[in-house]
Amino acid sequence: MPRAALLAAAFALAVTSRGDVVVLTLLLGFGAARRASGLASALALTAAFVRWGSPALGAIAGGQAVLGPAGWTGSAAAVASAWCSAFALVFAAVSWPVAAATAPAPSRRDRRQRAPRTLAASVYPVAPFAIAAADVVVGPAPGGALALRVLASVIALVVTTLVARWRSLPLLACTSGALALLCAGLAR
Amino acid sequence: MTSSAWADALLVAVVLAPLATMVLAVAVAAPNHDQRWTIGGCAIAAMGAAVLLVSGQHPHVSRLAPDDVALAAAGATAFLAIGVRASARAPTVAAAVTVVTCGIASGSPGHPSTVGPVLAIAAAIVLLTLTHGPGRITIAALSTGAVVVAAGVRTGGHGGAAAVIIGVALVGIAASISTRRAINLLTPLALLLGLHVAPALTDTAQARWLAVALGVAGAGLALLRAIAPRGAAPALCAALVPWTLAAAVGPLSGTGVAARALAAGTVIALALGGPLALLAATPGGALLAYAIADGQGWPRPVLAVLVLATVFGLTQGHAGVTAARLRVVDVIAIAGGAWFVLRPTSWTWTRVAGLRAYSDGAALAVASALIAGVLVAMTGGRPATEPLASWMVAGEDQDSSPPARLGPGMVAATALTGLIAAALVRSARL
Repeated sequence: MPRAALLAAAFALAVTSRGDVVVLTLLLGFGAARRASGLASALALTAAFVRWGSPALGAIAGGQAVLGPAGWTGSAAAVASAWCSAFALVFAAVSWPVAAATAPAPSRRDRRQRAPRTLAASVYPVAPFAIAAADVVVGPAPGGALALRVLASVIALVVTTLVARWRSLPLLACTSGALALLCAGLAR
Repeated sequence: MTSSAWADALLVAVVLAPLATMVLAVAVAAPNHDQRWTIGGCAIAAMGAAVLLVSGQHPHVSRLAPDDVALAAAGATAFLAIGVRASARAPTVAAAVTVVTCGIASGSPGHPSTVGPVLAIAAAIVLLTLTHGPGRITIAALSTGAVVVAAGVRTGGHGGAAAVIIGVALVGIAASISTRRAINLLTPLALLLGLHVAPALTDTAQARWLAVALGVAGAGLALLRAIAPRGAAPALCAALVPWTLAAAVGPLSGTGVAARALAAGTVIALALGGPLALLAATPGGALLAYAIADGQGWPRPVLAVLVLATVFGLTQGHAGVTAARLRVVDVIAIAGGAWFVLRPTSWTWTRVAGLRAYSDGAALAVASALIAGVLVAMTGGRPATEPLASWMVAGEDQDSSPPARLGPGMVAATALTGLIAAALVRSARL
């Protein structure tokens, strides 16, 4: 239950763009219950903070509403930073249970025999990561291109769910996060 | 500065209560294993300091005039003494609380003393050595730190201030290397002295180099935790001490704001001892991260890398979780820590600012988590909150420094360092 509650809190912060990157990082890290996911989230969200110059999620969304979505606004390094952050958050998502996600990839026969997971159980644990990924790449606040944000959130949710169901990619998540932070530092 | 007669009287009680209960215990010939006297005296001191802090009083009695940070440190010292594991809670600990509180509170209104804390560090090291608690290496580190601090106070200037910071870092790290020990009482005193002296270095070249050196120490302690075998690793909160002092010296604009919050988080983490207790440093860590991200100059990337290394080290390796029994003092520390993490701006003595988004996010997160928890429970979910105590509080068997055998040589050497420290701080300008 604590993980479910933490992920719900992270989802609320990401959807409403309230709070700051530190709180969201902690919620995502503890919600995923995996160190690599926490580290990747921290790197990705710190990159967004460094790029926009404010730790407030509201300020990051507001900046995108005024200047344009981070995914295609600004210098090449800034754009690369936004996309790397998003990829880091997508790869950091962990589906339930963790043990199954970190185990070797099952054979096709095993996959067929595994009890089917409900859609809600697949989407719930990855949704906060997906919404956060959309926030850092296409996340303008009301007044900006809000329809794009909704579309990006839906796409991110689908991609994150599929990636998390396929396999766990903690190393790729951390690498993407580190690249995002490096690019954000170069873009400043 | 607000001061009244009752506040002055309460300050006297805060200072003397631990020692008085020890004397009373001797007078009524209470058995040595009866620890209620020690706990009672320290509880009076902790509550008295908290009352003075919350009521905004700044009492002034003789040469004791604690400011708000000193009152917080005095309360923390008494609280840490209550939390000391039962096997180490000797009557000497109560005497050490009085000595440390005297050092913390010394000074005149608006001018906290730098000599008082040095003498208190030296005297407390001697007293705590007598409790058979700290190991030889710990005692050696503490004594060296005390001498360095005393030499720095005597020298004065930027060089002296830098020496004081190095000395208190040594004392603070050695005092927090293991949790629930009597030696932990020195941590608030060391941090307080560092917070008082560090502003003299703000925006200087020494501050930048010193902050980087302290950052290296913090990252090293965190990474050591990740690679050292279980039982030989330092407590997690030891890595927070150098970072508190690094923030205090002000290598970048805005880091000074983080120092008090980091100090509060360090003491709370020390009082609890578990891996999750490090969350108490979140507000201070957030402020430090903001300052580094907004900073300018070469220390910015260096400190950023060191912060990342520290976070990596603290989140890697074995967690060191053992079965823990939740005591009343732990529940109070958890409640205080939760309050500080969720609403740090309400702890006015820390003078934190610029955490509006953080506070809003924390409030929204708590509300959302509670609603989700209730919904999960209503749908048949099992509240798995039992292991949280083990993650939050250190178990009684967590011990990284075996107690030293106390011999005449050890006592003489420790007393000698105390005398050297006292001799060093005796100078005309002090």
